[in-house]
This record gives sequence, C-alpha cells and structure tokens, in this order.
Amino acid sequence: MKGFFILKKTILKKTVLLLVSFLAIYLINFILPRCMPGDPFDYTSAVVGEDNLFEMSTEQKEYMRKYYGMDKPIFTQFMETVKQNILGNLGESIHFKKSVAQIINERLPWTLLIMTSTLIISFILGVALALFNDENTILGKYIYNIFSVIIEIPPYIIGIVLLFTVAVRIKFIPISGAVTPFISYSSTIHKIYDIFIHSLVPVLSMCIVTIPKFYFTANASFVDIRKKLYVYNAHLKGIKNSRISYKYILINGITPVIVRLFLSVGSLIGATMLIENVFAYPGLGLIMREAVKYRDYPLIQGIFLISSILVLLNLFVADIINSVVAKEVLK
Amino acid sequence: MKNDNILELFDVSVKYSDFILRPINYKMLRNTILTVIGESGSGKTTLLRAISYSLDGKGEFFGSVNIDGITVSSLNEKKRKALRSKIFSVVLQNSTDTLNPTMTLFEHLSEILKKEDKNTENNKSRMYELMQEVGLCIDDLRRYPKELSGGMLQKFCIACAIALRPKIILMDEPTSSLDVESKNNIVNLIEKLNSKYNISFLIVTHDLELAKKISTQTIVMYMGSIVEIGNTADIINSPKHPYTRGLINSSVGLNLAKDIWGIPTPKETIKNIGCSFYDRCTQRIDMCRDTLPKLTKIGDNRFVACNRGGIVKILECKNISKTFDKNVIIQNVDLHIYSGEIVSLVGKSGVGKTTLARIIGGFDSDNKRREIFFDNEKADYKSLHSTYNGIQYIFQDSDTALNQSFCVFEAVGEPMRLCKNTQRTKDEILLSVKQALQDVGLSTDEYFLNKKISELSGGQKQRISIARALTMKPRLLIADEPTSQLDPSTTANLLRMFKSLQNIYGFSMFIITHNLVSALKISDRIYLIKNKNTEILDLSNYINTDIENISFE
Amino acid sequence: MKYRKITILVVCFISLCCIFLYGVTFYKYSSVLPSGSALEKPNLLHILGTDDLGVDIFAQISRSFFHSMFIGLSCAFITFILGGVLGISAGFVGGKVDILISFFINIALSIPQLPVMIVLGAFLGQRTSNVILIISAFSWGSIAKIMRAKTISICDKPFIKLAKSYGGTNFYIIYNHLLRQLLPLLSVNAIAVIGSAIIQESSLAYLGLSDPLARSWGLMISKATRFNGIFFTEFWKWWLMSPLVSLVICTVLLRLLSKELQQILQN
Repeated sequence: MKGFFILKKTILKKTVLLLVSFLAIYLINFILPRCMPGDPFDYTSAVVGEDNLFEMSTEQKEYMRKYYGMDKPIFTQFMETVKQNILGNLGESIHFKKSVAQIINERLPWTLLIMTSTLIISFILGVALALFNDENTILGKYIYNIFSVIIEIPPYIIGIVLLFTVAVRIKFIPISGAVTPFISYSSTIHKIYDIFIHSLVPVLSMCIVTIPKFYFTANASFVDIRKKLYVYNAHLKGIKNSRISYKYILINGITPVIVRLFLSVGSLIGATMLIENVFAYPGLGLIMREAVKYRDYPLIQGIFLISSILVLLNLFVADIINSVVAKEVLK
Repeated sequence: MKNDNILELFDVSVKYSDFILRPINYKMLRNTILTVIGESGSGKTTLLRAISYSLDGKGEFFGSVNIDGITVSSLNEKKRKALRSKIFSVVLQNSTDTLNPTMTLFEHLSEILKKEDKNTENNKSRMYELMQEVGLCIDDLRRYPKELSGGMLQKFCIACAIALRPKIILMDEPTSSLDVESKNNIVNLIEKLNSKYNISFLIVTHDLELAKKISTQTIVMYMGSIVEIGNTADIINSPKHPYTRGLINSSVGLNLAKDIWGIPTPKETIKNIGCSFYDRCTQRIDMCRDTLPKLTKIGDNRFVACNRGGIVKILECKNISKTFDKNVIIQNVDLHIYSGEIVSLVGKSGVGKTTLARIIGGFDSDNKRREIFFDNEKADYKSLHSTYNGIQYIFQDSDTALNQSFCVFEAVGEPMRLCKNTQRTKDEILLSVKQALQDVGLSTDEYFLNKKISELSGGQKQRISIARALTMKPRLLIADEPTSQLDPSTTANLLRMFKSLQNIYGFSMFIITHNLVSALKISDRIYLIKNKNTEILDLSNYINTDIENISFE
Repeated sequence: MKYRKITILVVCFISLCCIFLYGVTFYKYSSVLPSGSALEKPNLLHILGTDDLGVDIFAQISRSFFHSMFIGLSCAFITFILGGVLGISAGFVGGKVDILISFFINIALSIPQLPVMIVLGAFLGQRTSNVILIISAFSWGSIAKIMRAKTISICDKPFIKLAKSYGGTNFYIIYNHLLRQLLPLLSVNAIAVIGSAIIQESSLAYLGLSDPLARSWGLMISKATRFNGIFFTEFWKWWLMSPLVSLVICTVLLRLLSKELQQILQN
C-alpha cells in the first residue's frame, strides 16, 4: 500500500515535469521569433551549400507579421496562438502554401516508419546479441570492441557512406525517396515491397548505430543479472540453460533496456531527421531543412512542436516504467 | 547398495589466483550428517563448490569427486546438469537473492519437478507433499520469494533440494541469519529428512553449536586445508588442533559461563611454506615454518594435521603424593596441562592447593621420584626457571616476592640479567622491561622505572611480579591465588589481563584459586582438589541454561 | 600496462593534431582560394585533391579541424563552468536551490536536441558564436546532473559532516573536500563534450545551419553530397570521403579517450 502511494506521487511528479517541460518548449517556440533583434523577417541568408540566395518577398513579410500578430500586445498574441493551436491550427506554411498541420500529417508517418522500424530491429537484435553473446569468447571481445567504436559515429555519416558504397552500386536499391515516383502498384505486396526497399538503407544506417546502444545497455544489465545468486542457484538445481536465459536473465534484466528504448527517442528523432536528408526521404527532417532554407517559420515551429511532444511523451513513459519497477522493489 | 560411501573425494583441490584449496581426500559414509567448520576464508565454501562443481570465475579444479559412485567431476556440464537435484542438491546460503524474484514458488518447484516428470497433475500433488514435508502451507506456492520470511525461504529451498529425492544435499550455512525458532525448525527438518529418507547432508557452517547439535562427523578447515577430522562430539570435547580449540573458545553457545576470546590475528603475516596456522599457533616450533603438516590418524576415526601431533601436553604429572609430618596431603595426583590453555585448581583452603602448585612449579618436591614431564621431557626445573620459554611462578604474596629496595627496572629486569643461556644487552633488557610493564598496564616512563618497589601500592607490586614473570616468555605460567586479596573490580581487571596476555602470547596458565566463579570465566578446564586428590570439574552438570528455548515473542 | 590503451589514444590524437597543424602552416595552398583546376584527383601537389571550385581539400580539412576543435573546446569550457557550478551548487546547497536547478536540468535533458538546435539556428542566425551557444545549451544538463549526484553522495559521507562539526566553512569544504574529487570527474565529462560538440556542429553544418564562411567538415560533406551527379562520378572518393573520415577519426578518438579516462577514474 505504501509502495502504491509512492508510485502515485512519482507519477504525479513526473506528470508535472512533463507539463512544465512542454510549457517551456512551447514558450521557447512562441518567444523566439518575437525577441529577435530587429525584424526577423528582414533577415536574409543563403542556406549553406545552396547557390541561390533567398529573400522573403514583401508580401510574405506582411503575411508573417500578421500571422505572428506583432501589432498586438504580447499576452494577447500568446492567448491567440494557444487558441489556434488547440484548434489544431499550426499556421500556414509560407513556402508550400499549405497548412502546417496538413504537411506534418503527410510527412510524420514516414519519419515514424523509419524510427519505429529502427527501434524494433535494434531492440531485438541488441538484446539477442547480449543474451547469447559470451563476452569471454574471442568473438564476444571483437563484438564489444567494434561496437564501442561504431557507437561513437553519428548515423548520418554512416548513411552517407552506405549511400555511396552500397545504395549507388546496387541496382535494385533506390538512392532516394520513400516510394518510386509515379508508380501504380500492382498489388499490396508490391506496395509494401516498394516501401520496404526504399526504407532499407536508411533504416540500416540507423540500426548500425542503435544496435550497439541497445547491446551495451542490455549487456550491462544481463551481466549484473548473471552474477545474481538465483541464477547460480538455478544452475545448481540443474535447470536447462535455455530456460535460465529466458526465465531468469531476460525477464529480470529487460527493464533497463525497455527504459532505454523510450529514452532513445530523443536522440533518434535527430538522427532520423539527418538521415532523411541523406536519402532525400520525405519525412519531417527533409521538410524541416526545406523550411529552414526558405525561412518558413510557421513550418519550423510546427515540426519542432510535434517532435518535442513525441520526445516528451516517450520520456514520460520511460519515467513511469522506472517508477513501477521501483515500486516492485519497494514491495 | 553399490558402495558404502555417498561421497568420495580424491585429491580434490582448487586454485584461485589468491587462494588455494589444498588436496583433500575424504570418504563420507551414506546416511550421515557431516559438518565442515572453519572461519570465513577457510575454504569451506570453496570445498562445497568444488564438490558440486560450481566454482565461480577463475577457480581451477583438480582431482575427482564421486557422488553415489558416479564420478561427477569427469562428466560434461550437460550430463552433470541432469544429475543435479536428482543425485545431489545444493542449498545456498540463505537469502532472498537465491530465488528468481519474478517467479512464484510454484514455478520454482515445477521447473525442478519437470526434469523428471512432465505431468503437471503428478507434479502438483508432489508439490503439496513437499510443502507439507518442510512445514509450509500449500497456499504459499502462489507467493513470490520476496513475500517469504527468512525461515520460510530456507524451508522452501530445502523443499526444492529434496524435490527429486537426491542422495545427498550440500548446504551452505543453513541457519545463518535465522532467529532461534526458525533455526531449531531447520535443524529438526534436516534431522527428520536424514532419518526418514536416508538423505546424507554435508553442511558447511561456522556455527559450532549447529555442528554439535546436528552432525556425527566434522571436518575442521583452515586456510584451504583440513586441520582436523573426527566425530563431532570428540572434536568439541577434546580438540586436538590448536585452531579447533580456538574456534571452540570463540563460540558463545559452547561457552556459557566462560568469556569468549577469538583467535588472535597476527600483527604481520609471515609468509611460509609450512603450516598455514603457523603465525597464529601457540605451540609452533621452527619445523612448522617450512614443513606442511600431513593429516595423520591419531585415534579411532580421528585425524589431525599438525607437525606436533595435535595440541601438546605442556605439562604432565603422574602419581604425585606429598606427606607432611606424616599427614598425607595429596596422594597419587595425576594432572596435565595442554599448551595454550588456562587450567584452574580450585578447592577449600588448606586442602593442599598451594602444595600441589609448588610441586608442579618446581619449588617443592614430592615424596617419591618426581614424575613430572614438561613438553614430553622430564622436567628440569633448574633450567626451566632460569631460561626463556620455561616455567614461571607468581607467588601469592608479592610483598615478599619482590625485593623492596629494588627499583622497578631492577626488579623486573632481574631474571633477564641473570639468565644464563642468552645474554642480553642493557638496551634489550630495557626494551623487554618496558614491554612487560606495558603488558601489565603499568607506566613505562623513566620516573616509574626508577621508583622503589616499597613505594608502590599492593596492586602495583602484584603487577610488577607478573611483569617479571612475563619477561622470561614462559610457556607455563603458574599463579598462586592471584586475586585473593583484591576487590572485585581489580579482580576483574587482573583476570581479564591474564586471559588477554595468554591469548596474545599463547602460554599455558595454571591458576590456583578458591574463587570458583572467577575461575569459570577464564579457564578452559578446572581441577577440583578434594579428598587428597584431584578431579576434573564437569560444568555441564551444574550449569544448565536453556537459552535456546527463550521465545522472542 | 594499465595505461597502454590511453597512451595509444593520446599518441594517435597528437599525431592527428600535428598532421593538421602542418596543413594550416607549412602547406602551401590556401583553404579559401582556388589553387588548382576544379575537382583534381589527389596528386603530389594537392595531396587530397581539390573541390568543385579548385580549392585544396587537405588545406580545407586542416582548417576545419581547428575550427571544430575551437567549437568543441569552447563548448567543453562553457559546459565545464555551467554544468560544474550549477551541479555542485544544487548538490551542495540543496533545498529550494536544488529543486530549481534540478528542474532546469530535467527540462534541458528532456527537450529533443536536434529540432531545438535547428529552430534556434534558424532564428539566431549562423554565426560560430551562436553555434557554440546552441550546442552548449544542450550539453550542460547531463554534466550538471552527474555533478549534482556525485556532490550529494560525497556530502552524505561522514567526513564532510565531521569537517562541518570541526567548524569548516562552506568554502573550506568545497575547496578541500569536494573539488578534489569532483574536478577530475567534471574534466573527464567536459572532454567527452568536445567529441559530441564536433558531431553536433557537423550535423548543423550538414543541414546548412552553421557559419557559411567558416571551414567545417560538416559543411564540406554537405557541399559534396549536394553536388549534382556526384553519385555517378569518382569525385566523392576524395571530396566527400576526406572530411568524412577525418570527422569520424577525430570524434571516435576523442570519445574513446574520454571513455578510457572515465574508466581510470572509476577504478
């Protein structure tokens, strides 16, 4: 009963933290364009690597001023924005001439596809490797050493390398996009195959870095569990190794890895955005870069808001799982 | 029956980088309970792990282990796993950690039972049977390990161990961290399983009381080697190895009236290739430094590993009689003192205590040719008194035992100055005097050293005479009524001082006293002198405490 | 033997520095101005070839190394100060200060890094100083959290309570008892920031959000990958791979170094 109260209290605390973090992000998002020195919309720049200079037209500037409601007092502006956002209106993209919500609606599934497939594949492979790998063997040591180098390389770099070494060389692997343009699918399987083959290399590049992450977390946890007396005792009782691996080591040691799964969404979303740019994959990252290029402020803010919510929710879940485990311990 | 032995060890040894379990040969009879005792780090748990072939980390195993006629140590782990729980089980030291926190007791038991029989219904009834056998409720099967008390946990672990009716169960500290009641329950349970199902038990423990209660055979281990083997009762009643005696003296439960004293730990460990007990031993000789003692038979089912053949009789006298003016004072007294023990002689005044002590101490002679042996040689008191490592005598009246006009330094250093065999320089003598004075709790400054004996108080004088005796590093110290004239507090201090000096230096003591109660506190054995003869006082006839049955609830 | 691994890492890193130092000093080509024809293969003159404008690639990479190291070290310095001061004061003072600082730490840790960096980068503009600020803003949180936990664990120890009871002032306790144990930990964590800051800078540069005038590996990678038809030529082999390999080697070395130091600290 005591444990339950503590749990309730922690969940409450975490919820407050979640809400406040969200508020902080929301405020940053609201205040940033408004506290720019001078007029942000006079600011012109070239996105590096592009040869064309970009400058907002006078019309666009007018629209922006109106959208941000610069002429009204700041509090009214804020209330207005909140009201609009609650209604699902995230503003209108300047460059694409579409509502931001609609653009996000189109692009988010692709990002989620990459992210979730990466998470699922890396989770399973990382845990499996840690479960069946014996660190004392030569192979185990190799895996350990190679992984500890790979984990330090940013995924987009691996993406670029794979793009130039694998995707470009192998005919049936496309180098960009999420689907073959202008294709009409003969069947659902064809469609799934097309999506799969397009996402193959991006997901692979992400997995190369994320598998070691899960492997290390799982390995650390399993090594701890393997030292536990109950595992030793189970061996002494003559329990089969396969049962010990599953019922003893996996079940007892999986929680930190699951927590890590949710915690890693934050860094994963950044990596996905970069990878999307490498492979011109039409997710949030690609559109974000376009938005930055054209200084499409409403779109930037919209994407930022969505990705922040995604990360915060996952952090919240991780926290809750941790508290539940702590409650088990208290019991 | 294939073989009378349930367990046979042939040259079983284990090598760790910092610990070695020296080769062990042992045969354990069927249906017996064997305890392995020793301090922590003595290698008893390593032995258990070696037998069950479950060494951790970098331990290397040598030799071979037969359990129930099967050479377990030469099988591969897969085959051995099939035998685990069926032929032999292990019950680890009691702790919640030995069970999987995410599995219920039901799951724990069923995974063992499934090794033999996949039928769930059969297993269920067997489970109920097992739970009742060890004294748990059937409802407990639904619970998780965390919900159990220490006693219940241990019972459940035993239930797991007996589930497949093994021939032998190896247990590590089965009763540690349990309260008295649960402890007794476990002991009764083990005894019941032993007699009802003929299961042999090998129990590793540091609890001598448990060993005494439960086992027929005992192995005593120290620093990775066996130092003594024998019937449990024999070992407890008359230990043959100084280490075993030290263990018994440290046990609270076995020394109800006596004060407990641990085996002193050496200030510095002397690296030696000989006996591992060398640096803590009270009767070591040069040979022990480089000769590893072998386990040798010294009696019926009794083995001891000591270069000196077990605890030495430092003094033995036979047939001592004394007649004084035709009055027979003592007649045909036999008496012996082991090395490193405190023996008291009690009796009414005037029965000849002091006479006997003086005869033993060499300050009086008996009627006949003296048959007194010191360290197995005929006692030559002249040399024993005047050399180091001999016999020293502390007289009852310290006033007359000291020259009142001497200063402290002169008085205490006197025997050393006079010592024939070993000449010492003045500095060495001064150092020894200071050490002796410090040992008896006196000041060691210049002022005190030059103080006249006559200026000292009675208590100080007595300490001076003790210090004087100590400077000669005696192997036997005889004290005649050391506490007779002292108040209770001083008596307590003095007795504790004697015992602590004895514990540190390892000499034997023979104390003459009329105060039985204080003798009880420090003595290993007590002789009672009456009717012109001595008899050994068996305390268990008088002291009868029932601490075990005190309920905490 | 114990320090063998770390010696190898340090030697590797110093050699790397020396190579790049040569690139910015005695190497005869400029990192900004064209010095050959466009897209020359690596040859004796231009040891790593030239880019599409004919600028020498080795010279650019060397400049970028020092640019990256400057950003990395600046971020490390800022996080060292910010994370150290906030973490230690939260742990040492406790109470409301702790609640407040912990709250900020938690927020800093729960905001998704790259999106915020992009937003900040987009709004603040592309000066190097802004890049440093943005990266630092997201690095101090984890360090402050570590320092706070360590400070609390040290303050719980009896010797601190004793020192207080002997009349030690807060300054005395922080200076004599805390810093001695905290500084190594703080330094090692700050070193780890150098590596991750370089990676983050390259990511921002790759997205076109770093200073367009500075030389940076991320920028070079971004330029090369956006060159039309680079897939079907051989140019990528030197134009793209040189900055990419330099980036990977440099960051991996730095990260392994800090990990190794961390391990030594723990033992």
